[in-house]
Amino acid sequence: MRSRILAIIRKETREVLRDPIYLALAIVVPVVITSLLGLGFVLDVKNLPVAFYDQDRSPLSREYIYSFTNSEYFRLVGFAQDLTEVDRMLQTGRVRAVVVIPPDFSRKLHGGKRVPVQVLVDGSFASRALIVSGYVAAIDAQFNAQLLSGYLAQHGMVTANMAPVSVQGRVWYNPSLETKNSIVPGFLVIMLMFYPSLLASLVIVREKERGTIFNFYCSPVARWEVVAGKAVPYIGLAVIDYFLLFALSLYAFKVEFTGSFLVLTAAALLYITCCIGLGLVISVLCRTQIAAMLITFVSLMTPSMLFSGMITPIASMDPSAQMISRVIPASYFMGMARGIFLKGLGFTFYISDFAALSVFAAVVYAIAITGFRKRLG
Amino acid sequence: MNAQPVIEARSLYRSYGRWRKKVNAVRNISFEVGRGEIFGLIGPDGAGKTSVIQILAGVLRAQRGVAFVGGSDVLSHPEAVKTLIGYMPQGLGANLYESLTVEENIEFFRDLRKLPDEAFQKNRAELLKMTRLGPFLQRRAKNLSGGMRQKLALICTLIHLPNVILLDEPTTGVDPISRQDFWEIIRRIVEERQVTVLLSTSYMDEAERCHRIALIHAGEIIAQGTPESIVGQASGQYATIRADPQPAALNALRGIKEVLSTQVFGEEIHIRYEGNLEEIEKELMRQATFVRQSSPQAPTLEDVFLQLVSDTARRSPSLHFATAHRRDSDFPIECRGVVRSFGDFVAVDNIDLRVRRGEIFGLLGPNGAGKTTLIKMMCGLLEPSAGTILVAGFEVPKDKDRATAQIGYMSQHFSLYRDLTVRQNLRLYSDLYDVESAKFSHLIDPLGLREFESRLAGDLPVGVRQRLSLLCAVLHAPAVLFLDEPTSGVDPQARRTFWELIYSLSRESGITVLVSTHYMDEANHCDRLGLMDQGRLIAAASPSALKSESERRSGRLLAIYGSPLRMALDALHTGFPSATLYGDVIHLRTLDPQFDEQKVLALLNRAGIREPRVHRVPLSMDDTFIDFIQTAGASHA
Repeated sequence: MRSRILAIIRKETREVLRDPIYLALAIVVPVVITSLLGLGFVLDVKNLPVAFYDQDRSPLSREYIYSFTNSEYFRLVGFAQDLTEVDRMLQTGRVRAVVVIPPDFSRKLHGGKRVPVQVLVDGSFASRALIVSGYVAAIDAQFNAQLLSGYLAQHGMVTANMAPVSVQGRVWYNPSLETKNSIVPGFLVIMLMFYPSLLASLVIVREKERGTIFNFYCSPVARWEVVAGKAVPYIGLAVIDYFLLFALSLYAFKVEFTGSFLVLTAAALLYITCCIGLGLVISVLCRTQIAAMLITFVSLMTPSMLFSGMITPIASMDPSAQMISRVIPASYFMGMARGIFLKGLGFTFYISDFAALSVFAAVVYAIAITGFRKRLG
Repeated sequence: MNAQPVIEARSLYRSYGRWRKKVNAVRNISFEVGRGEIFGLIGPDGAGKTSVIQILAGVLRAQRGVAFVGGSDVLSHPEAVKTLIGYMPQGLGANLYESLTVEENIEFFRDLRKLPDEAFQKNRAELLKMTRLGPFLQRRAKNLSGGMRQKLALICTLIHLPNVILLDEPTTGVDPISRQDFWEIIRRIVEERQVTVLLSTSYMDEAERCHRIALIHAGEIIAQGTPESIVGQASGQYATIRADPQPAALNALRGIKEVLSTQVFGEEIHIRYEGNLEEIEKELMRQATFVRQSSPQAPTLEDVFLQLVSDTARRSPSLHFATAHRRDSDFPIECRGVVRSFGDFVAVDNIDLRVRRGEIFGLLGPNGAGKTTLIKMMCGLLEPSAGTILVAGFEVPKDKDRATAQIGYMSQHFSLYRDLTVRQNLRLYSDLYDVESAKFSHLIDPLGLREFESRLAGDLPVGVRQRLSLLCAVLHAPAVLFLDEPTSGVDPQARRTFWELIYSLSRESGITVLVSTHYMDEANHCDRLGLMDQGRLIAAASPSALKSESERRSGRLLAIYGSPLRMALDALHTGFPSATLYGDVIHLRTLDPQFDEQKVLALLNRAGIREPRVHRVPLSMDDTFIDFIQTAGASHA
């Protein structure tokens, strides 16, 4: 007895392998896009170009300047000679911040008075300006503490307990606080939603456009056989994608991987099955490839990008956005992927997510199979 | 026929859309097909053929009516029917997967049907032999020619030995030789396994290949029965007249009361008349036209179709152009040694051609013969690899800009803007060509477009659309008009009107018309025909000259009747191995008709065949074409 599913799988596999565009879209594009985004999508603020307008030109003002340029956060671009130059430097974007030290900086400090130091920050990117202000405040506080301890030591006072409460911050899971460690696993999730589901969304509607769909309509083949036969090759293709992207994050981006590869792979397989299923549902319901593509973009890709927790954590979204994130599979896999990558959490921790994705897969395939009518119209 | 029909359709209804946009595709259609019968649904595009076949294949719901296939109720249990049938959708190889090879396609269909290996091997070998596709098993479907694709599509449909075969326009656009193969396969499987075949076609000349036919028009069956019995329903008499000068003769004929209808086919005028042909002839002579020949003729299926659809006398359109200044040339179209190749593939192979001014020239050939490539080069859209082309005296593509002003082009697909009204479309085209509306406003009435002026082009009936396209193509009074399959699939009545317009353009305005087509029906309207095959022009002459040349070379065609047919054929094969079955008739080509007629009758009588009859019948354009292809192939090889 011959198996119809195997026949359909064999046919689909041959068609994909012989179509260079499909193959590129399935394998090459996700890897290229992840590489590009991984290199470009860095949110860390480091090496900010900074300039100084030092009106004092004293040893103390120079020391103050050193305290900035000695940190890895600021990079000295130059000194301004007057206020118009300060203006120009900020306008042209050569520097993101200018520190203006007043003429009586050291005189006042030595006299024990407060000195106002002006910091001009380019606020065209609000989040970056915030970070810059934070850095400035921290460096300033450090400088003050140094001055104070010097002053106290001069006057023979004990300096040991100058700051009774001191914060000792330790960041877990991503100790160096590098965004790539959370962004790259995020891309893995998004890419697996994008391209495999796009290809799957074309796979049945393409046959409707060509007329080959009648081969299924007019033969005794069962509906589940068609859906399963179409899904399996594309799930296989997406699994290859997964392995490639995983290797890319580990070896090219050197993302820390602390968890179990087996658990991550199992989760990825389940997630991929959902994504392909969603694509098939679209393919079953549409009549033209263009419609299928547009619907995939709008209904699968965009929400996965916005509501999966890729950029903003789900917990900090408003309730309606949280509702949306709960019905897209990418949110579940996003949590799992990041958790397994960075926290090394095991299977038992993710049982509820596995269950959620399983239910999702079951529902999606049920819709695809019942939606596939062996009739016109 | 057997008592229990294999296919039974009773009062089927199907409509699409709702309210004002509602289209009744199938209206009260009933017919039965018995075991071992070939039943043809014959009608123009949009008549409802596809819908009927899809209902019977269980993929389209009928809104009313009953349908049984192989004893199963299609409408309530469509899945039961699907194990019995083989269905081939419309389009050249529409059921094939392009990137799979011939072999992989066949195997996919085997697996879909879970066919046991033994039956598969036997059937596969047989089908490959009949289709001669054996040597191409490893070739991908996308690299097959149109005819080969369609034969592979047929193999895939038949591989699981279905008892009921539903074929939707299986022969449209297929080259004549593949078409012949195709019919031979159908005939053989019907004969050997008594399968039941329901097929649709818009070629009226294929009716004779079927045991019984139904003529479909606007969703209704207007006649049903054997091809012979339907042709027998024709009322009135038909005749062919050749007279000089033809336009005057045509005008005179239209004025004669006894002449019910006229139509020009090249140099012949076909008429339907009442009373006496001699009287009509005399009347023509009186009006100073010289009648070279007039002979009564048997009506064709198309004549019957026209009578059944509408029997009203129709006005005759006439198109007069204020012909623009043009460089005078006696041969507005001239090709010298034109070649066009795409990589290794030679699409147009060394073509020499001259078309006289005012001539209607037809390029006849199957899909892929090179017709479109040649026309594209004539329009200056494609550069020839070698050779020269002159259009209206201008060399293309060198002098393309000046030539374009002299070229009108009407494509096979409706290329006007569907969401503009008729008036807006005309306005747009006249602006594009910089023509004042006064120059063509007098053409709106004769084309019958007045009443449609404010309708959207997309809502027009097919025939009206075609006339609108024609008007847009000739607005700028071109010297040369290119028509790409202008009436393929159009109903006979609209086709007839259209050709009358073309005739008037050619004879009265002196426009040179070049038509490309794979429809033999269209070919007969041309003054001269160029037969194209695999990029070469294998013959160019008037349709009747081509037919008589073929008759001279390969013999007259005899149609032989008798019963039982199978025994008659066996008897004939003892003396004439080349005799072939053609529907319910045996065809035989002979170079000595007088002698062979007697010999045929003697053979049939000796075999005890009842009612043996032999007729000399005119050669069809299809047969003529095949003969030329085979002769050209023999000399080429």
